[in-house]
Amino acid sequence: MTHLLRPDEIQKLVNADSVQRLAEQLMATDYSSEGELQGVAEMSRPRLEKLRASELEEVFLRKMVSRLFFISSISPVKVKEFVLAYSRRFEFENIKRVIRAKHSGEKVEQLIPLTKEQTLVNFEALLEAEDLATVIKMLPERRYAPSAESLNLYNEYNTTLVLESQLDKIYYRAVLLAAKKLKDRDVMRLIGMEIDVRNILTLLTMNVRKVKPELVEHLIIPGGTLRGGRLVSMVQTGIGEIQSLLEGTPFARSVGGAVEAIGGEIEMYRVEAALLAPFFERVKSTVNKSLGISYVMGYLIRSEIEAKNLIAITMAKQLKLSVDILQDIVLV
Amino acid sequence: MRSSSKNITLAIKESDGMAAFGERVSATPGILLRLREQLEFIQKAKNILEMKRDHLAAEVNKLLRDLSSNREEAEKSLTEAYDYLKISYSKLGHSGFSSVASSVGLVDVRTSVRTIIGVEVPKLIWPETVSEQQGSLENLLEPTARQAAEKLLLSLGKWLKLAEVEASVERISVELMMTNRKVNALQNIVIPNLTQLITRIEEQLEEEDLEDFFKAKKMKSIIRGKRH
Repeated sequence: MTHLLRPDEIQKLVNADSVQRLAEQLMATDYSSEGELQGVAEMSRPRLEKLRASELEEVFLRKMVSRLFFISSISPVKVKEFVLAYSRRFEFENIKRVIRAKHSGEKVEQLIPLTKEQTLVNFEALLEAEDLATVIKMLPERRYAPSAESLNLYNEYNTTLVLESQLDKIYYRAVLLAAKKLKDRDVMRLIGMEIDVRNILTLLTMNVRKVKPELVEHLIIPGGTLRGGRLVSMVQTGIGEIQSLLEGTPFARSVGGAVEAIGGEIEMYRVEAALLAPFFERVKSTVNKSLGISYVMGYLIRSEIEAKNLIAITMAKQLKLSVDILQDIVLV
Repeated sequence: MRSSSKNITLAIKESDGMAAFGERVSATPGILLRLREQLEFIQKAKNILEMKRDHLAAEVNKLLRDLSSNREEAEKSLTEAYDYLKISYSKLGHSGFSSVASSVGLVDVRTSVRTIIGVEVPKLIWPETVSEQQGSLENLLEPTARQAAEKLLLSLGKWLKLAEVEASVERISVELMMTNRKVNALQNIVIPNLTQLITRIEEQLEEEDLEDFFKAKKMKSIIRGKRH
């Protein structure tokens, strides 16, 4: 993992003064080969001062995607199948973006950059589609199309949440299927933990923000380590009892402090950071003890986390977000 | 029927039964009576307008007190909403944030009218509580974006309230100004002039009465003188 940024390098970026300074620091890393950053060193001062965080975001996303697909290109068959299934998350995320935009009649601002070789979906055609119904018809049925039940729920509740959740279920089902063939417990555990984080966040948000409870069971993604009953209770129980519901799980200790309201307000970014922290610790410990497929899995996850960290840091610098809050968002 | 050749210079012109200024009229008891009735009516009208003015002034003062605290609250809520927006935007990045933002629905704001002391002011109706706002946020489950959106909605509510109060202050102030002008006009011009006119007519009629009395007395003495 030598070309991934080290914790001290991430910290240096967190403490950078500006987007421009951050870009200059990245020139000494693996990102210096990327298009926009290649030109940074040659940029005039006025042009450098106009450098926007969104320009760098595309660099980070492209790097993340290319790393994951590079791994699939050099992997043996069974591992390749798993890595490809795992990497489809970008494709699913893009489909969700199209669904949201078509539902609300808005334009899609930007998709995660995927080349034609990296996806089976014709996103150009999806973007041109007239409405959401057309988008769903155009999705290759076997892999992506939402079930009739979720379409009925979409029509009944007029919410894209059920469609997005259905896509998540399709995605994780495929990943778990490919992971089972590898017969690696650490990989299964990491995927299970990732699903747990998604489910807990969804349910906590529904609880705290009072989202429609009748949708709960349709939004839970199966395959996590936490059972359905415990998850469903999270929507109905008082927020103070969440920690006791998570007793015996890796999340219990870190979540406890985060769900305490500060001045009457529960800060969702702190809750999310608290849930991701034990997951990230598990990733790091898995990587440290293994050189097998779980090492590869760890690399995939860390590549994605690095991209998200860099995006968060760059945006935070542009928006002058305080370093204290940024420290909570960034996973190191 | 007595008529006077002396016309009162501060004269009145009858129009719709009300006195106004403009023409010369005769000083007769009938005219005097009508003028007194008009004066009484105008004084009552002035009192009512003064009451209206006082109520309008009190309402404006109350709204101005609300305005200052509303503005402070609105600015504070917007700053807070922006803080949450910055967190979410940083976390999701530009493309991710734009995508979740596109799933937020429109906020239904309707306009209506209400009256305050006869003045029509706008009333805005919007979803004020979190549960009422669910409609526009039903597709938004990303936790930080959702929290930011809720903060923005609450802030929007405060700005709408502020706009309502500012519009009310503006309209009531205009009405207050016009009412004040009317009161001042009645108090400083119409009533004094009318009072002066009445006084002059009264004096004129008294003079005529006195003249008639002396004439009658002389006639009487002449008639008595002839008899003897």
